Amino acid sequence: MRQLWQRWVEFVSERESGHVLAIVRMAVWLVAFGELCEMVLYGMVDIVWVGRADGGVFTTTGNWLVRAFGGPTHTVVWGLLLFAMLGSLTLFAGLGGRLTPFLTLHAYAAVTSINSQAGGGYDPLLTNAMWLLAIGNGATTLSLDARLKTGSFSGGPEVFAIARRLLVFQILIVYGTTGLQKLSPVWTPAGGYSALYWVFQEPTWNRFDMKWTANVYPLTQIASAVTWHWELSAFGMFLYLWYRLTPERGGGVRRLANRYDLRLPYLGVGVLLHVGILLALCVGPFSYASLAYYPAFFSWSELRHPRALRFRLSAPPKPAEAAA
Amino acid sequence: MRALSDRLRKLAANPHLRAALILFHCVAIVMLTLPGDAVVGRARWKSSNTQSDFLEWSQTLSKLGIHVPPRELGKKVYAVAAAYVDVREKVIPPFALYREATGSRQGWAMFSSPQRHPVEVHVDGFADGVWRPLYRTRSSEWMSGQMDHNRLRKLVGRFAREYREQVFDELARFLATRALLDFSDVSKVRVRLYRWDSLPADRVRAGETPKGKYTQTREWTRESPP
Repeated sequence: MRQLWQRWVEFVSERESGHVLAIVRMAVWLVAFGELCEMVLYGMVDIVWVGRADGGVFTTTGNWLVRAFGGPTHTVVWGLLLFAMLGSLTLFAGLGGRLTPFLTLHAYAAVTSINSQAGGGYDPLLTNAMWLLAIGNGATTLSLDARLKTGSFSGGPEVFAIARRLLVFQILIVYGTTGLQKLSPVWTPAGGYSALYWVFQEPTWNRFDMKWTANVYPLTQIASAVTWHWELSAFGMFLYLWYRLTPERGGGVRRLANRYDLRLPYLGVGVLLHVGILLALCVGPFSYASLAYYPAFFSWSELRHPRALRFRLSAPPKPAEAAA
Repeated sequence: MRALSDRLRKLAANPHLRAALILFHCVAIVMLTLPGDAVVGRARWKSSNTQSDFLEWSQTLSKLGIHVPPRELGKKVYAVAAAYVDVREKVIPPFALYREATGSRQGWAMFSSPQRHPVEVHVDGFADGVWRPLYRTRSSEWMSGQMDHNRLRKLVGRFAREYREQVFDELARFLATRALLDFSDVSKVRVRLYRWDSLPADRVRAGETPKGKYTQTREWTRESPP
């Protein structure tokens, strides 16, 4: 047990360049800023978030922070919103260390918690990343913080690799558990993999009229099957990433898995699914928020030399690469 | 102050403490993904969509030689879900505190049971002795900027899954107020919830169109506005 704990302590104490975390930081805060900007530009803030008692449309409450400020009044909602927008921009630029992301994430979480009927999975997806970027300090490099401290935007100290790994953990948890919760028969062979056909028949999410998908029904079945099985395969990715980290342990399955870089097909399918969602469905910034996590699957050296990535590996990944 | 700051810095640098906190984070994330008491929500449980799911599962089980009527299957699954929620409520509180403190909400039931009995909000105005449509989902210009926004799509979509009277009332009042302001020739406004059953692909290909019915109606006049 003690040995196991020691290995865990060593694992979470590993350090690496902060560039990947910085890329995720920029992507996450840009998506958050974009979402809040859209709310302002479409005139949605007073409709969705300001409480009915203060001239809004719906009877809303909000989380502990909103309640602490006195409820979703016009002033509180716009105050939190503007704070979150300003914070997002500041953090995109990488200014403010750890405290700014912590405060900004709470402003974002508070304002998006106000109307529980009008929110999506993208809100917690963003705040989850914000929390990890706060504790991992995503602003050590490619940031104004780095420029101020080292004189160079791309300078800055190393960060704990666990922050990036927790981002991977989080997005795989999202995919895996959403797959597990698809208990309706329509996602399974029992319902003929008809799920996406039904999604396309209801107007709630469709970007445009999708009734024509009845003419390509088998394609919607294939897409449903791919979606559901791919989501469930997230648990397989956990196993694969574990194999990559521990090639020295041997075993036939591990050796076979380590002959391939399974991240590439897994993330490739993920990109295709998210592009499909963006084209067909209006589900807010969900796809952008999800894709913002994707760089975390790679090390900085891999991101700098993407052409060197190969599906079939000539040798098991070296420890540094495996840690990615 | 400086001494406190130094002490906190030292504490944060302790690798064992860091490892313990990260372990707690991982456990919390996994625990918080467990679906909450919404899984035993009566309205959702009784919804047409959930009933369709039980009917299909019952038919599938029948093909495997296990005969359980949909109603009985629903009761059995509900009993399991209720027992699960009881256990969940006992183990979640410490992690719920972490969720609130860090914004680490988890709840990833996305399109878990695609809606096969959808709803739309329709707004009509009464002018020159007839009702004329002012808003139809995804085909009207009026209010499309707001009603097509994903957050209001979500809110309207939820009427199909678990209808909430107050939310519909408030949306209807808002739309009616705007309609009376924007259409000066209109003397009355009605906001209705239209519901229908989506059709299977073969019936759509055969040229059939879904026929629905209005399940909720709210009406106001210019003299007694919302």
